[in-house]
Amino acid sequence: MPLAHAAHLDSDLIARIRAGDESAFEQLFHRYYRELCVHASRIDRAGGTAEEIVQEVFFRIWMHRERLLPVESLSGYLYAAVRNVALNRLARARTEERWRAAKQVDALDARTEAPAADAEMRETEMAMAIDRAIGELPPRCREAFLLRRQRQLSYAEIAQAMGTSQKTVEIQIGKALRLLRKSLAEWL
Amino acid sequence: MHDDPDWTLLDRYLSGECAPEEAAAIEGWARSDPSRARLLASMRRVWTEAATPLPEVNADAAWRALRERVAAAERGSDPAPVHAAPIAPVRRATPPSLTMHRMRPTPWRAWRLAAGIAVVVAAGAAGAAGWWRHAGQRPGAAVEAARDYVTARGQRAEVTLIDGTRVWLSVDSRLTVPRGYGAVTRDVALVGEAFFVVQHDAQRPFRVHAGGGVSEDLGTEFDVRAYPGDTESVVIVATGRVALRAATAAAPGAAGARLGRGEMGRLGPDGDVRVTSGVDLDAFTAWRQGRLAFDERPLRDVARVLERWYDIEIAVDDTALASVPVTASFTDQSADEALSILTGALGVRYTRHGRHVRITAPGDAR
Repeated sequence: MPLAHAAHLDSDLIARIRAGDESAFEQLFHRYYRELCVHASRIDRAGGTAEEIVQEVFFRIWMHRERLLPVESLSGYLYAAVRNVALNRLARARTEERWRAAKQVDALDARTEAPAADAEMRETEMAMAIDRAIGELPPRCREAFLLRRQRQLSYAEIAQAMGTSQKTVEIQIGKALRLLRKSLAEWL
Repeated sequence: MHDDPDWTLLDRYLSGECAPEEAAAIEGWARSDPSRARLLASMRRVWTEAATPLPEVNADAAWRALRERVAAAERGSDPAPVHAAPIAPVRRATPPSLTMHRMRPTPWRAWRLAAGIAVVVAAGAAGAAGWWRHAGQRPGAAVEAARDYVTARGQRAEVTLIDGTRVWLSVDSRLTVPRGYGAVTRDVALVGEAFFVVQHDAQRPFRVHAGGGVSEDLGTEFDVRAYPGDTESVVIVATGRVALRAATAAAPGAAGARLGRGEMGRLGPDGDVRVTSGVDLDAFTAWRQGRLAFDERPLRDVARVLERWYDIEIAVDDTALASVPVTASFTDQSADEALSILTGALGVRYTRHGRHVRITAPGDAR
């Protein structure tokens, strides 16, 4: 669901979560979990900690649910919270730069403003759209494209790995780019 | 769309495997029409995104883990995170140490300059990943074991490798460290720009493969820049010495050159090295402090750097304007502030729609 369309459902959810409604909390969790993991992984590119970061955010929301205030945009708030927790963790990871952590805003202050959240949301939505578009490529085409881009192999190496000719690989990768361009036309 | 580019050529362009004239042809094609320019920009975007797969998550398992943690906390037990499952590392292993920086960063802690000795840099034909192919391994074998450190536009990273070698990775760059790094040799691959402070070990040479080339180190501090589409690999020495030569495979018998402190070597696709002495080290390495400094660089080049730092796309309408030399320095400005300063100094205008910026000469009606 595009984030913008989800906004009108948010105030009701917040009220129910404040009242201790666990099913509302579960709904919130499932609605935003994957998206927030993507967002976290884009802040902390080291990888491997995205799920921990998002768990931390939801954990703190539930533990302090009575402090949850109505916000303009719940998704904006969640994005900002993930961002703060992620940056805090990065800062904490470097003990010699511990002073940085002190400069970070308390992650779950409900008044946290999120000036960058809109742009970050668009970026994350776009990254997910690109990921989806890659997933929807024809299988051989996708395989060739990913070997090319993620493994940085040459045409000859891909041809060998896929048991096909170099010419076919070139055609498949060209096709992948053309199809990606087409399916992402509304995003890019 | 009836105005399709040559998609295979575009792929090689994005991979940084084009000859300079092919790259120029693509860039000319894109310049000739805004819709082509948009197409090129959007394919660049897809290309960047596709490099790093999104994390795979299991929301149901994560929900159960969260409930367990909440239950434990409510019982007053240890509130440490509960793992749903081994957390998918997204094919990027956790590095020995990695710190990310975004634009408007806090300055990095100053570090002590180590006494440098020498670096050998060899570079050859385009094709950034080419060196893997000469490793005598099955395709995929070497690469699969590799570990990537990737920065997006506007992000920088500081990486300490297992041997203590430190790497400052600039925006929109990728450093690949194969598994087994340090065991016998120390090979890394770079696309983009990085500053290296190398722990010397005569038994295990340190090599940077960039712009399709190879750089071999004996303990020094130096900057390497080879972005996709760059026609030259640039090496700037801050401490120590560098021997710069073309890779044997690309240009047999090329003589190369030795570089000392404050010297810049530019290795072209022809295998020749052009050396400039007494370069302003600060201007070339200030990016490590989050500062951008330009000394008489054409607006075209400056725009390319700003694109990577601010994640915007800049079109300069006029070729003459694109060639105007710019001397400027940016530290903590927003994209708009930087653009205002830049265009103000040149007496030109800019318009911005989201990520798209257009710089126009005064009087240009468009």
